[in-house]
Amino acid sequence: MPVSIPATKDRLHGTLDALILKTLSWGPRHGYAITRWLRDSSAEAIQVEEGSLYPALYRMERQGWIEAEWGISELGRKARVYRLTPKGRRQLAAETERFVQFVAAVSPILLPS
Amino acid sequence: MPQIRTVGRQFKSLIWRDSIAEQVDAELEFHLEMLTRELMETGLSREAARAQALQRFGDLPALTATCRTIGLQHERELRRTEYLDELRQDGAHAVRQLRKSPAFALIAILTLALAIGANTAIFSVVSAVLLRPLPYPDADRLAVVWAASAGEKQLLVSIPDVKEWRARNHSFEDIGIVRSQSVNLTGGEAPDRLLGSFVTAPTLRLLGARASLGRLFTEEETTEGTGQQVAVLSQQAWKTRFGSDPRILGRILLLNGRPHVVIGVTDPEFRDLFDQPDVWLPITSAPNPNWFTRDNPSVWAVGRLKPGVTLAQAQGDLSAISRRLAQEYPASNAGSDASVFSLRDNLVGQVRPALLILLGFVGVVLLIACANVANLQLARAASRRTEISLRAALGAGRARLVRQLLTESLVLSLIGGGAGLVLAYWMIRGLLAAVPEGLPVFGEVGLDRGVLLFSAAITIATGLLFGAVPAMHAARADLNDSLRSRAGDGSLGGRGDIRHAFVALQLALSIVLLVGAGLLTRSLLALQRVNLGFDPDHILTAEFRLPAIKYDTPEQIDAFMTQALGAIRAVPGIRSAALLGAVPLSGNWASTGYLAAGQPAPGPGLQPTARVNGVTDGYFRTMKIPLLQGREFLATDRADSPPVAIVNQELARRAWPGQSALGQRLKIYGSPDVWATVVGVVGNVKQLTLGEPDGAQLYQPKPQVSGIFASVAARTDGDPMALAGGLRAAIWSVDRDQPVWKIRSLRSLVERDLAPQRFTMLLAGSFALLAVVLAAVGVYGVMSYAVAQRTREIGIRMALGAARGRVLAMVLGRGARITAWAALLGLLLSAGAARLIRSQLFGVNPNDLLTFVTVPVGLAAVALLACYLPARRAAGVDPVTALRSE
Repeated sequence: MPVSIPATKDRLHGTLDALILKTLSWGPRHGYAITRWLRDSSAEAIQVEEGSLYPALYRMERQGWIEAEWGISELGRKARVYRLTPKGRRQLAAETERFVQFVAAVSPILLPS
Repeated sequence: MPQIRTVGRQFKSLIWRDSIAEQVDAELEFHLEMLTRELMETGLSREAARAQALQRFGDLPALTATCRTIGLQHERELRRTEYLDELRQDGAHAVRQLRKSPAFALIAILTLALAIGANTAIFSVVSAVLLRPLPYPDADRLAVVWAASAGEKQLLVSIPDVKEWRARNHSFEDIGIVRSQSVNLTGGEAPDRLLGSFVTAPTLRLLGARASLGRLFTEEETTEGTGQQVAVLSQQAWKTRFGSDPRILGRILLLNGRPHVVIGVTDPEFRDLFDQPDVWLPITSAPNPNWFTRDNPSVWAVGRLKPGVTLAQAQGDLSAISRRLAQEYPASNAGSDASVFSLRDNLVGQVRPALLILLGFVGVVLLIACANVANLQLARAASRRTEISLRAALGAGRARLVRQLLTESLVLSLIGGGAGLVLAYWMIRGLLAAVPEGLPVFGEVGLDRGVLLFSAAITIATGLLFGAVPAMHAARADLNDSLRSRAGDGSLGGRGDIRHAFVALQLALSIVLLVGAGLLTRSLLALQRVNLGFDPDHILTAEFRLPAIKYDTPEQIDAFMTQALGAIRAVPGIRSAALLGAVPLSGNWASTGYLAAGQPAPGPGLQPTARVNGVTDGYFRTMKIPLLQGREFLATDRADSPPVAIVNQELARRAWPGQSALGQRLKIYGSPDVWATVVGVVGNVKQLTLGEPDGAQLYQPKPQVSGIFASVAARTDGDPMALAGGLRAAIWSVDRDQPVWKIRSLRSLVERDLAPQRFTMLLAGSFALLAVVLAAVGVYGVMSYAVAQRTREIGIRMALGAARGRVLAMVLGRGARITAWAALLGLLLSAGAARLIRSQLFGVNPNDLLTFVTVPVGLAAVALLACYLPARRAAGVDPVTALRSE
């Protein structure tokens, strides 16, 4: 069942950021490629809404986690390509750590063995 | 090339807004297109796929807007960071550069600190006196109203006239009465004198007074007929004289011999208008009943204009009422008018020109300092050409270079400004110690917010001013040329001309200040040389006033005066003494209308007036006022003997031109009017100020003018102040309850009159001196530098046989040319500037020849001396060493 990720709640906000950062940690990508990659690698489970994705990208660029430059896409068109900065890499590590802690804390409650 | 790049960058930044928007549009469109293609692969038509993709996007315009906003914010932050980074780099670089040349930095900072400090100090006074809001509610609507006649604009008004103004006008919300006068306080250990202010209820209300204890006057308490014997103490008097007694309310004070109930104490914040009285009394407690008659002007008035009414409208309104009053009461009011002043003008009108002149002086000093530092920087820029060329060669644009150099200037001026603030702190203390009494200062004089803002503003302006020319010059220098060879450094080409122009400007401005200071000094000297008409040395003066309740008949008053005078004359060390109405230069004076017998009666309002003084026998001898004709008053000129008068030379000349005044008869308007016979003619006396023109003066025997007020003038053998105790004791020997105040030497009154002029002159002189020192340093610096740069050239000339004298003449000649141009420019500027200070001049023409010749000659001598030292060094150059050094 696909999960749509809007940018409304703080937790989801953070989650979306972490997902994008993780995606970019494999290499520079443009926005469309990010959605494709997330969909493909989650077996179509995660659908990032465009309405959430782009504000997040611009916001993260402003934070200095990612930087953008214009490149040529696979179709030969100009596309804005995002790349992870060292600051973004640290942010990804922090977000991941926080997520692991969150899961560790919540799991015994929601999923009693 | 650099230009195109710069322009390109500016252009790009102009359209940056669009660029972000385009980026967002392009990016989203790209995403849409990719999505459309992906959907088309599932078999949809292009249109259907596009529609579905758009639907996935949701609110596309909103999304675009969000992204654009974030992008713009990001861009702005980036640019700010970049800018701050560059600024930090420039600042650090500037500090490094200054460290490299500490001598330059020290001289520049010191120069700036002195100039900025002086400006800050003067501005702090200007701010406290001229700019700070007056401490009254709606102060800009408060006006002071006086009576006016043809000649004078600040005359006392009669109480009935103020009442008519109050009742008939359409411009004021309300009008109150004021009259300050000393009040005798008795009933304590020693008789004491309070400064009293006689007012009506509206006065305190208009000034926003509040009672911190008790209450203020009610309308009834200050109205004739219903008036009460009540008093309001000032906070200060309550503290110092009554020990902050909490039970002061209801206490009865004997003021002017009459019991007054204390009903209130004013708030510590409250300030009266001109003096700070100890006690406020209802006008109905006036010490003299004739204050209330229409023919006896005795008060002035303060009013608040209705909103939107201008001073001019109020003036017209009151003038019209005064004209009607003149028709209704021709005997007392003929020719009388009203004059309305804004409160600020009335308070500071006298000191404003002097303060503005001083501000102008320090402003010019700042300009000179700027020229000086600019010159120093130009000299340094010349030696830094290699560094600057290198930076340019490495790709720094011209704008970037200019910014770098301007930052250096700003760092310099900021350090100088900081040091200037420290200096200003001390200068302000010095200023306040030297400031003449009576300067209307509102609140503290010090480094408050406004002054600090002013300081910051002039500091930054200074940095830009002295930095701009050197920076542009350095950036415009022919870079290739200076990289190729440094031979051009010594030539006094374009750069040298600019430096010479700066020096000439400094010298010219110094001339302006010196001429100004010279004219002020000449004025002071002229004032000091003024013929006072009397000899102020060894004269002791004092004032007292008899309480009306105790001395209510002319006989009682006369008896007291006679006994007191006898007692004073008996004091050992007092050679002669007299009683009089108003001591010259004490600020007291009275005037009266007169009519000379044998002269045609003047039209209404054209009646001549004279300063009048009631004096006892021995007065002219004591004061050494020359008796030109006739006799002094004698002890036999009593109240019941035939009325006599003594007139001064000026009155005699006006009333009976070409005739002797002796034996002539004179009608003196007063209450009652008398016909008096002139028994003597005396010299003219300066009564109110040293600078006043000679006017008509007349004297009456003190016993023939009733009055409870008297001053003493006593000629002493030694230091007059040593006899102050003796004088007081002599008066107390007649009445133990009689306070005596303002015991001072006549010389001190003369000095007090000179003080404001002396203050302005001293400050202006110091600034002019500072300017000359700066200018001399400037000339010396430029010539030294020129000589140093031309050592090689001079060496060659001397090797080729030029005599030392020729070299000396060559360098001096250049200095002389600069000085000549400066003198010419300086004289032209001075001629204009002298007109601006005309109001402060006395007895000297603004185009005073002596000043206009002495100053340029003197300054030229200083400038040539400053050239001579480097010239001698040039003449001492050893050709061999000079040539080898290259």
